[in-house]
Amino acid sequence: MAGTVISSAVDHSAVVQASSSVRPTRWAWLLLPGTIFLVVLFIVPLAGLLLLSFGVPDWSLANYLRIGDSPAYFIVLRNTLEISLAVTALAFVLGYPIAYALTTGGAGLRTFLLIAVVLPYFTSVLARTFAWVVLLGRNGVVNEILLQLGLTSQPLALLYNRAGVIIGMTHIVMPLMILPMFTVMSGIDKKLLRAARANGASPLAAFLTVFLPLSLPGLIAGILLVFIYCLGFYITPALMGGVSDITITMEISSQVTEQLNWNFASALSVVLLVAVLAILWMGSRFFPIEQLLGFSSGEANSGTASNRQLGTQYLMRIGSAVNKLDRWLPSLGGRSVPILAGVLATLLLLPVLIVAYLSFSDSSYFVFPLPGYSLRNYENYLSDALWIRATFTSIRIALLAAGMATVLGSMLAFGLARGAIPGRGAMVALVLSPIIMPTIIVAVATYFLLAWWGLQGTELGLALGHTVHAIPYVVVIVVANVRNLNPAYERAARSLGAGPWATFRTIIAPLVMPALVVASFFAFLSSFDDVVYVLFLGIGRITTLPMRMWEGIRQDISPTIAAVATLQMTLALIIVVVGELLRRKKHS
Amino acid sequence: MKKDDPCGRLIHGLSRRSLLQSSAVLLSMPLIAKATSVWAQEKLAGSGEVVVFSYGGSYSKGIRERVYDPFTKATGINVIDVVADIAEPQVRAMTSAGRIDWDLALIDGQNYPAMHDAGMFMPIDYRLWDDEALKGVPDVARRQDAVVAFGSTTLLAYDERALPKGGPKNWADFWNADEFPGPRGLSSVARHMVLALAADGMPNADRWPLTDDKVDRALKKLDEIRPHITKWWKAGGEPVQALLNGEFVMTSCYDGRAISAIRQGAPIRMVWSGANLVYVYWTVLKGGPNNENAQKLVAFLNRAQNAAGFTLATNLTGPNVNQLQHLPGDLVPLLSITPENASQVVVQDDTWLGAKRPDGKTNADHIQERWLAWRAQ
Repeated sequence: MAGTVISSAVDHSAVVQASSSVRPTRWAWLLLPGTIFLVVLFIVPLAGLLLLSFGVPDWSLANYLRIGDSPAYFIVLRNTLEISLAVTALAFVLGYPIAYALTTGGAGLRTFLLIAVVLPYFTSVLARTFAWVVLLGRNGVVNEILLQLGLTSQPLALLYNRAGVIIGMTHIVMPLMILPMFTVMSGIDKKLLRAARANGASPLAAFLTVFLPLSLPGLIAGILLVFIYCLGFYITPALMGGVSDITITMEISSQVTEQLNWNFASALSVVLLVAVLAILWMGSRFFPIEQLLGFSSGEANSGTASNRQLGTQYLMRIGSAVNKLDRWLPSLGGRSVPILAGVLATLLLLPVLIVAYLSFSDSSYFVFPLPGYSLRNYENYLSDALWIRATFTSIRIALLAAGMATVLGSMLAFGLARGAIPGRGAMVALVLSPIIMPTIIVAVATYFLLAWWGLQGTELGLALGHTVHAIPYVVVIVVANVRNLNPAYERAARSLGAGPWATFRTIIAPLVMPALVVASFFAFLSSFDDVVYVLFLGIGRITTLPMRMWEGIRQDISPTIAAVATLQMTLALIIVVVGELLRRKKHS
Repeated sequence: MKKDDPCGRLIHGLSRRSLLQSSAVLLSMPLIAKATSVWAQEKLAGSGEVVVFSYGGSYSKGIRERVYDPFTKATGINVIDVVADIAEPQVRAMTSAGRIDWDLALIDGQNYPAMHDAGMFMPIDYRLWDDEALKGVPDVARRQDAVVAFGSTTLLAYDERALPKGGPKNWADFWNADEFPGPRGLSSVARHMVLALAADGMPNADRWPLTDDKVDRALKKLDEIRPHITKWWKAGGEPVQALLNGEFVMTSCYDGRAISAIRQGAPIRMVWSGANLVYVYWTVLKGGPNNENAQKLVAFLNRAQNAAGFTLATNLTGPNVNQLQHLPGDLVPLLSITPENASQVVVQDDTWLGAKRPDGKTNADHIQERWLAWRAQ
């Protein structure tokens, strides 16, 4: 199933073992805690809710037949997939050069790019949407420029249509695409590229035949995460899309909260889950990831040897074709990628800068340009005990969830990569399902479990729910990086007398640390950003920061949320800069 | 205009309210030291707490200041907020799980029939109510197990800056893009398709029930206006924001949001003709931890002065007409309960929406599905 995509992205030893007779290694034990956690906190409650879709206790297919009856649901599902694919493709095309420049650029460029990639994630959805209105609206900056230049006589409709949805979503998913690629690319040995150049490959040929294939696991991890993440969008399409840009998650959410048709919403979710797993499975059939990965590892294997030879031939041909082409390409002296990445990053930052600008408004509405400057939005935030309490609640819960998810998720990742257990595909499907299923369905299901334990409305309960949602991100990111770990290092350490713990501490931990940092960052964010789990698991007793921001959109239109978003961004900025400084210090 | 207009209140509340207030202050002076004796005079006096659903944001802040704090002062009962977008999914979840953590919830009219049938609510204890409140809140608003908290009206709102020669007077004008040019907004809520029927000249009295022929007629009428709609809004804050930024010149809009903007000085006008009114109910949840205190808060909320406080704090209009005496004069004409406005709006037929069709779906489900198919095309 979906597992093939990841498991093939996993590591060479796994690929080797998958085709020989399967015998679990001792690594497989690492799967145990995470699996138990997911079964208890995800599978059991979800199974209960999914039984609802069959109308239990009177078994019936009525809910599924209803989906089939109206063509609308099919169109909505197709919309969702189209939007998700378009966003994934766009994010990849824009993200790859940025990830490449992050890896190869100087420290200054890297800091700038990291900031540009990470900050959009911290702006609240409402403030960000308004920033887009400022840029792309009827009276927006872009239309103003086009009108001034005489390129158009009427303001263009850049928002509230499919383009608006795709722009808005792509902007947010960039870190999810770029950071997994970045961690993998950082692990690529640059000497290989120099070797290729020394043997006559042009820069482009060296890139296409050496770097690109080696960066594949990160690329696949990024694409996979972004695609699945896109399926869950329902606020951004509602705020930036046109009337027909309805996603299946919007409809499921409306069925749960407005129509109160939980049985029907469950049926829709099952259809979504099946459709997505089928797509991932087909993707893994048609995209020959395994072969490409096969020759990137230095190990021979009877099953894939012929394929690998074929792949090598392909690459050689690509390389020589590109070498010939190279004469005709204009040369920018190796600066083209950093320049491109810099421009893209600046574009990413534009809406963010507008949010920061708006936060200094002295109006009680979002107005552009500002009628006057003031700090009233910051005063509103800082003087309001509810805002402050919500901030600390969010941080506490996110730290707890990120901690649990990082530990359980990285154990799962190592177990999956090296455990060589049978049925790994099913295992990976299990691990991914929490983010494929619409959050609201999982949240309702988890509520019943927590209510049964009496944990509803507690921070621990909410953190447990968030952990289920964060584990997939951790697993995908760590798994893509385990490939960089050459087991020979560990064997060497063990043969020199290091115990398992010492090996882990001195060899494995330092090598996977960047991946763990990025993974726990996403685990933290996925909890910190949540506005759905908290509604049920918190059952009104817990108010988190994003929830306060979301109330803003329903109850107020005050730019206070721009100030909160700006403070969040400032915090993120400080973290990125300090991280980079520490890194530089360590290297010098 | 400021949120509180002392002058307006002075003029309109002078006769009764200020007298009452000043005498209350005089009376309570010697009693401040012994707060319990203040509670002794208060028939709603009690102890402990009551857990109340709240929309959050400025709603929570306002209602605490103007209703909850005075309630706690008068009765000794603390009010705990529980916050969510809407209460229904959580109420349903708590009922299914058998752990009711809340006492009072706001339930939208279209969800009320099914939840009432499922027996989720306690009967409202009208014995605790003041005579004035029983007279001021009309009979239709007082159900056996629910009482109207506020009416939420979806009406036409426009930007008077964009239409200086006079704005639209009704939904037919909204559809008339030649005479009233400019980009428009409409809500993406299925039930709001009834506004198209008003535009098509259907008399208000014929609007409900929304049978299939009327749905056809509404969707056909919506086809006409579709190219002129810049944005089908989702969140309640969007239409006002879009009017202020010039993204729309006119839009459908919730009355509460328009009132809030107008009170802050926004150049927005409301048109009541053919508007859709939904009641949102206070309900006491069966099995909740503090049912008795919840009944007391409901009785307190419906006293005219507190009803006025609720309206001032939240911009949502409660049902007690006696509150008009306690409200500033320039706010009153903006409210759905004045005779003039009330005569122009159409109350949504929630009983019909909640009723089951032969195929097992509710009418609300069916309309939602027809709407989805129209949108997706």
